[in-house]
Amino acid sequence: MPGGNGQIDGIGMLRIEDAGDDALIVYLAEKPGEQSLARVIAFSEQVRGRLKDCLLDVVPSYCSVALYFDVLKCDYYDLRRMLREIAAQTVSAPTSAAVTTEPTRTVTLPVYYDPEVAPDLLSVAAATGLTVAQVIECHSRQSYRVFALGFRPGFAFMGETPDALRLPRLDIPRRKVPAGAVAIAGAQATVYPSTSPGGWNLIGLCPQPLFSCADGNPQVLLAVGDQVRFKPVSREVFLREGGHLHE
Amino acid sequence: MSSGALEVLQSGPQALIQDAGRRGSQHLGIGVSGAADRHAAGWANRLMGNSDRAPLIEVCLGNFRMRFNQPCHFSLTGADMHWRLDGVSLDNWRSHFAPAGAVLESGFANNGVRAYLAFAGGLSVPNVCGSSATSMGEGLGGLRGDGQPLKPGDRLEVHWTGKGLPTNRCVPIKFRRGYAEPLQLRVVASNQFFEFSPESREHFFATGFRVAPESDRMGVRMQGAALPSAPENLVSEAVCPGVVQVPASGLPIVLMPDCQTIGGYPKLGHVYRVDLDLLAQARPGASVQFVLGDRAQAQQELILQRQFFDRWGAE
Repeated sequence: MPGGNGQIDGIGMLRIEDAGDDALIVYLAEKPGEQSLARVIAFSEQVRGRLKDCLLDVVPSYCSVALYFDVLKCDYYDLRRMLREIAAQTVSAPTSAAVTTEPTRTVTLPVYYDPEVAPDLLSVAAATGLTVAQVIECHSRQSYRVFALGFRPGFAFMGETPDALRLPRLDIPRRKVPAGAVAIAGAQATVYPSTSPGGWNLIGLCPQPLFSCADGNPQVLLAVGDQVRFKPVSREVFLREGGHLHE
Repeated sequence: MSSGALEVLQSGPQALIQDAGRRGSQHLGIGVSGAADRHAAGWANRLMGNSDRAPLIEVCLGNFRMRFNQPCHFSLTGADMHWRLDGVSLDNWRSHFAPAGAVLESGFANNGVRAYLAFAGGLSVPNVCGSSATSMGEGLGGLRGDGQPLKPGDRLEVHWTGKGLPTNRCVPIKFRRGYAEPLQLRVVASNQFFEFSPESREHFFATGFRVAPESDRMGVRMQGAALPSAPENLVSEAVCPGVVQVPASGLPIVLMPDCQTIGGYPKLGHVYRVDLDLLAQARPGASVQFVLGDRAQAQQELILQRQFFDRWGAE
């Protein structure tokens, strides 16, 4: 295998692999969940603090963190050694789970759930055997965690969608999904931050911007680790909070 | 924006402002982008005495035309597009001077795909997260910062201070590229390489592929005989330019500078970063042969390229 494999005290998988000419990826857990999230957040914070001079990007995802390094500023073997140390500390630290399963913060997103703005709401109800009201209740009753950002600027992969609402993606992705579309696919949930193609089931529309970029400064509402709640709102509230019915 | 030192008259199939790329924002889902052929872009800036991070124009396939509203030093590298200045042919891979009012135009590329057009001092364009690279998919960068490609009527400013005037310079012949086919791309066995079956790994290196027409700055898709099998999709993780993704179809996709920041397809490895410069110039139908390389060599060649362009124009 490229790279070194190692089990740390049976706590979980710890692996460092090459991911590009200037990239390494560190796997901190086998399966996505609260524990992987805690490790990914703790590890990302550590490397950002301790290795910032040689890192260009730190990209956390479900079970792993990728590090992009400046090949002119750092030595590959030194970097690997330091990553291994930090990863081992993260994985074995008894505190890491306790400290970081506390979400960094909770974000409440208003959602207008109505077929008027949510083309898949009725079909989701039909496919799940629930009423529209039950779909809304089911989706907004619980909170979600942000596991990763990607696909597009500010696109948050959230989980986990309740069992009753787990449906496959659309057979044919839409060419255009509006910004703010609240969507589910399998165990995942999201809000589309900008207009884009997309294959997830659209069940609502959120008036709050999740991504904007004015004067060269990107504003991204959600971060990995955030806890997100969806709050059903009326058409009036949706419009008052800046929502648009048609794009 | 005032009168503009340069005015785009015709933008052809695609003309984009690019630079060395956008770093430090991938955790927000914002990709790297930047010049697709860093060898040619690096030389274009180097001929001008610019930093390797200076914004320049990446012209795709040709049919580009612009007017200089003030005297300007510029350079041409990359795909050979039969450039002409006021009707007079210009050599590729060298610097040139345009008097005020001159019109520069290209024909169609007779080799490669992308030409680079750099200006002494670099273009003065807005910064989005530390870079002016155009990402059309993300709607970031470029002349207005909104990810739109250049279009006729666009006016651009150059940063030239009049100092350090570039003399007539050209790229030494051994560094010029003709973008001949077939292409040989060296691959580091990384990522999920060992999760692919031995048959699939052997097939990947033993079989030639062709560049599919639906390739772009996000990814170059391969056509040909599919891999016999591919591992299942993964829990999404970070991906970067160079990575060789294999979706269920068994036909590899090499990710390019505008790729997403994370993805869930299994990855057979990554193409040497310096070899992506050649892939960026490959036309649909071009033959591609993947060969097994090694990590240390890939990094060494990247370091040499970075050092070579990085030290120039730093003062």
